[in-house]
Amino acid sequence: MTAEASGMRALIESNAREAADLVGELTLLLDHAARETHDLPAARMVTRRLSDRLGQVVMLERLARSGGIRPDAWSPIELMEELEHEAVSLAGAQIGIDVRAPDLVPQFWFFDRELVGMALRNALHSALVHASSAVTLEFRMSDGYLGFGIQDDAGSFPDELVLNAPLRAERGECNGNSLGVHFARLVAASHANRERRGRIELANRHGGGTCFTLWLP
Amino acid sequence: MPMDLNRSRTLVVDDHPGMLASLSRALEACGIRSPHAVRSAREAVARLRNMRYDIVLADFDLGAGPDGQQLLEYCRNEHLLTPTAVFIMVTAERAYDRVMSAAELAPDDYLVKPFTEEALRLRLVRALERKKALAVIHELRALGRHEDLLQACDRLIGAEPRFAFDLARTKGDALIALARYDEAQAVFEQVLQTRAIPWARLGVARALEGLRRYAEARSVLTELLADAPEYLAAYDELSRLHGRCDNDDDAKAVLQMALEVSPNAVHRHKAIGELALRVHDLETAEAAYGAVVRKSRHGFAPNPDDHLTLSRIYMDRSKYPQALDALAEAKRTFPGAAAVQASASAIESLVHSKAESPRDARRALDEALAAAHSAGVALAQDITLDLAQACYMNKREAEGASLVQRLVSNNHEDSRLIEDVRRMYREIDREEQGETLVERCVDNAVSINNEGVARAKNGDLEGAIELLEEAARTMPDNAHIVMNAAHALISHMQIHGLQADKHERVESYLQRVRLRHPEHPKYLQVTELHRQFLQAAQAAA
Repeated sequence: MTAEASGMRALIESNAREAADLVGELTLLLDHAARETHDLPAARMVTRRLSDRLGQVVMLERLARSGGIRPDAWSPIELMEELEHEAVSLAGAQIGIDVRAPDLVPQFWFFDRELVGMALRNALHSALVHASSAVTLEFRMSDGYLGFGIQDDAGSFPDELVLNAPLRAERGECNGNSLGVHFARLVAASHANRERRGRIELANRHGGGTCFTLWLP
Repeated sequence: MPMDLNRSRTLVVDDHPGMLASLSRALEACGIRSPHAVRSAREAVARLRNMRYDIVLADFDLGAGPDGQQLLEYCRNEHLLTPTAVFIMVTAERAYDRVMSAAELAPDDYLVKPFTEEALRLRLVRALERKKALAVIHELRALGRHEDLLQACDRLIGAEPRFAFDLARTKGDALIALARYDEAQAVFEQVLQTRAIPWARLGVARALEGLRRYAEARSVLTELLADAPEYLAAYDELSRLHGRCDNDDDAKAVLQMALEVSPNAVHRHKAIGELALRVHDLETAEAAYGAVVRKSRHGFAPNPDDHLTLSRIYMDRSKYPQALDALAEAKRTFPGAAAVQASASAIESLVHSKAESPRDARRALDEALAAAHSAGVALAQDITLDLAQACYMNKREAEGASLVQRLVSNNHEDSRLIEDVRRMYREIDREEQGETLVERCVDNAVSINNEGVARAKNGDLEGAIELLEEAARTMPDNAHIVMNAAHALISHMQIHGLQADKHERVESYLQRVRLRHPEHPKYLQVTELHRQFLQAAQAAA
């Protein structure tokens, strides 16, 4: 098995393990929520994260097959709209959702809607878990790339994630945020246009909070 | 503008009761009142025949029976959906490529499980908006009005730039349907300048095929499949291309690769079966048609021809009990279809002859001829040949010869059929007799056609019309002759003006050939001639 295949296999297994943990957490939460309805929002968030992990298992298998990406012309505005609705639905009253877009967001961009959607939902769910009062969704345009950005206002990325460290997944050491980040890296990198390839950017904000951007060529 | 979902009539289809209830609740949460819920594709069709729905939400995997994609294709082919109705497919990730088929048979959108209520609502609203904005496109495409479709696309590209790529794809497909391959290639290549989208690459390949640049088309498809090995439409196209170039082994191999991606696609098993039969690979043909019959049992419209073909394959492999079983199943499955009863009885007669049961052979032949004559049914070529062979084997030579004469006269250019006829005569040790009959029929058709064309070229259009229309009457399935009759009529009208009776006959001839030989080069040529004539006549009016 090649190193790439081994790394992919390890990522898949990590996702499956995390999914099992989340099922356990969800089971207990729902039992409690049957008595205490204020736990329902938390239960919903756990189901989203569980969906993320299970969805990623399937999509990682697709990415591992050659030609697994299926780009077509999609509206980035519609995708962002779906994310915004998801964010508002999960945020409740505690967290404000803001959407920013430059004047000229293109009508079309070329990407695999399911893969990119999954990567962005991962990032959004992570932001919602960690945010204290605000999550921002935004578009960016730079040098022929379209960027989907998600910011929160609390917590921080570990340094090695920000510095684009070698894949810890190869050793099966990924969980939580790092799984989502590694998945997003793979998704971004699988989008290519001529000599250009997608990428992600992670940054810790001054005063607290994180900024995640997925750039597509 | 938000879509008013609570006025939408919605049908939801899922075989899993829990998921069906959840989907129904989710639709209600989106504002849809009282969606109708069914658990199978067949129940869905029953509902769709009684009501025009605005929204159909169907799971791809519907257990035993037709799947969601088969349901969609059946609905489109049977016109059970209005031009503005949307069909959303719910699918697990793995089933995605079985969902994304040819554009005209694709769902309006899909949802990959798991999804949220909000995602469902947004996709529904957008699909309805898109469908409404492009309603005229869907209507024209369903009617096959490709010229009007092109004009509509050009109008809408300016008015609705958000649908530019959908419209470009539609335009390219319409140009291919009109055999305007150069223009189609240009449309798809313009899309490719923006990005290498698989459907645009496929479109270029189809255009190149139309331009007979087969090697280039093969190259495009091979590269496409290397980049997108789950793009099933590309396998189908590449297989067809190989078949067109008489590379049947390569055609079969490509389809086998596609079956590895999507093993339940009945049409691919059938295509392999057809290719195998062409090269007399009966073992492969038996496996392929066996799969077709098995998998079609739960489909909407099992095809009796598949049962008959399978029975013939069994017969050719001397598996007589299996052949009789397949014929019995065909008769049971299609009890009211006279053509099926006649065809099955014809093959049954042959089976009994080969199994040396002459009494059963004669009985079955009598049943076949009676069914064919009394119902006035037109039998398929291979069945006609079977019936002819059965006649010869039961010493009814005049009837056998008459059947062969009709068959060859109507298909004098079909070298494969002619070869099948010759093979049949070899099998019954009447090679010379068969050759004489075949030559006479072919020569007759050719000489009549040539005489008709000569008369037309010499200015005797009335004479050409008389001769060719009489030939079209006696050889009604001969596409070349029928189209030359239409051609002569159009030439006459080009000189003498549009005449209602002649125009009606032209349309009737075109319709006849379109049904059975839509890709015949003469049909395409005369169709274009007819279009130009009508355009000129309209301009002059």
